[in-house]
Amino acid sequence: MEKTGVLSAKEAFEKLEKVGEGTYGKVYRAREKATGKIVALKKTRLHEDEEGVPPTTLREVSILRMLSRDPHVVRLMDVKQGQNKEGKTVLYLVFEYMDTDLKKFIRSFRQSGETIPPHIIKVILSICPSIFNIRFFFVHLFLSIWLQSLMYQLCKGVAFCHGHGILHRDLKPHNLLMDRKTMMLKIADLGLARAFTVPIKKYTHEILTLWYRAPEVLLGATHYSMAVDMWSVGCIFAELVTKQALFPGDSELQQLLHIFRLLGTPNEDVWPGVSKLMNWHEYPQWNPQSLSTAVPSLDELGLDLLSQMLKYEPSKRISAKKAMEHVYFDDLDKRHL
Amino acid sequence: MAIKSETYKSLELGAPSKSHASGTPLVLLNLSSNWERSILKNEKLLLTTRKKNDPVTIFHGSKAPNLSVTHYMERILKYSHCSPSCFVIAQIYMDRFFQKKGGYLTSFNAHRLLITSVMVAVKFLDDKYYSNAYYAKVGGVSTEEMNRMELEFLFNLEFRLFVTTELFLKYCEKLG
Repeated sequence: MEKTGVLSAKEAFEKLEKVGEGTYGKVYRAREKATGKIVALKKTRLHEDEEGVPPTTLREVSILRMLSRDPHVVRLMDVKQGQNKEGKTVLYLVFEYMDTDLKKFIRSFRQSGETIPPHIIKVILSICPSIFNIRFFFVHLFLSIWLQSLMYQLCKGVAFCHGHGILHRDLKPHNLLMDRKTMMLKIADLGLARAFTVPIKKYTHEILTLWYRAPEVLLGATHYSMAVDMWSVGCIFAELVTKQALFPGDSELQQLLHIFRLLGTPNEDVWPGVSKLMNWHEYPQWNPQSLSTAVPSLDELGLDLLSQMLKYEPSKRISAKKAMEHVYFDDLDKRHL
Repeated sequence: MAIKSETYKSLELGAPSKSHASGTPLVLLNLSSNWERSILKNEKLLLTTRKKNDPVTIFHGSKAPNLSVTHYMERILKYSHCSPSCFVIAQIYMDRFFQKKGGYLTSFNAHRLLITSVMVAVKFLDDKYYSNAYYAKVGGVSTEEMNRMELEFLFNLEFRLFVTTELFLKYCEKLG
């Protein structure tokens, strides 16, 4: 980690293309000139002089310094300080490059099956060349094979974060990077992550993209736990199966109603203490529906795991570590994960 | 968890209490006493050994501020509205800073190191925080200085801001 290195960030890297844009700056695919390695370069302007280093950047760097050794957390390779054309200070975060994310991956399957890697197609063709509707079969088989693997990797990465005292708080398909070739999945975007090792006054409620936000956060719990991430994992699990968001609310109230329509309106019996949460009030009374109505093609073991991820009472929700041990993953070959 | 809760309670890291006239949590009063004691000891050491090996850094002011460290800390606490834990975390960061960089806490650098380390702790730890311009005003430095000190501090620590529960408790126990 250099402040004034031999080469400035501009000299050390060749920007190849812009691949994203965030609140504080752009993300580029770039080549490190010294090694030829392809990286993702996240540029953070400090041009808003009043703010200094954005807390999202400060948290992301700090937390990734600790977590990057896990294969399922994106690797932060370096942080460099530089100056832009106007002489303003810029921070460059250098990440390993991943060519896609889960959001794009899911969307590609919603549109067509064209993104199946060629070597997978070759294997499938050699096994069952006579299948009539080849594309449909490939898509279905492909997802069945990789669904378990992707979900296992996600649980493993989350377990690693939680085991180190970190809540992610913004798990969603867009923040889960993937390598299409190896089908490896990595947790990224830890700008909203936080430590839960030290007591503080109150946690914010504006974390977690709405669709993946846990009910206790929506209802205004002042302190929440690792369970908020597992709720997000459950929503992602369902979305991987159906290709559609499980609870696509467009306001906090609508988000709650989406959840209540499927899982039933919670009460003190299923969730002790729920009526005392800050944002609680009278809601329409729905009875719980079977999860299979929302995720019809998921098998029984998968539905059981999903139901444990979507428990109302946070303390009853399955942990990431326990999820890895669930029988749903029993027949998954975990040797390379 | 019981041990943790007891430690937090005795140091008033939880809900605000009124057991002290100033309303300042016990942990912070002990913390600032430690700082002031360290400063006196360090300055005596530097004076007697005649070693001018306390390097002048961006955190040194041209003269020692009139305000005591305790009053400076109370001012920061009053206007930052941060969790008291942030001051314990700030102490941990300052220790890391000196371990990495060398040097000593003195009346010339204590105030600037304190405002910088608390600000960084708040940004890392609390979900409610203010702009650097605000902390600069609270701390009596310019925004430009605040920004430069922040970057210097972060790169010196190599952005290693995470604190384990165990380390945090260890510091709390020493302050009990």
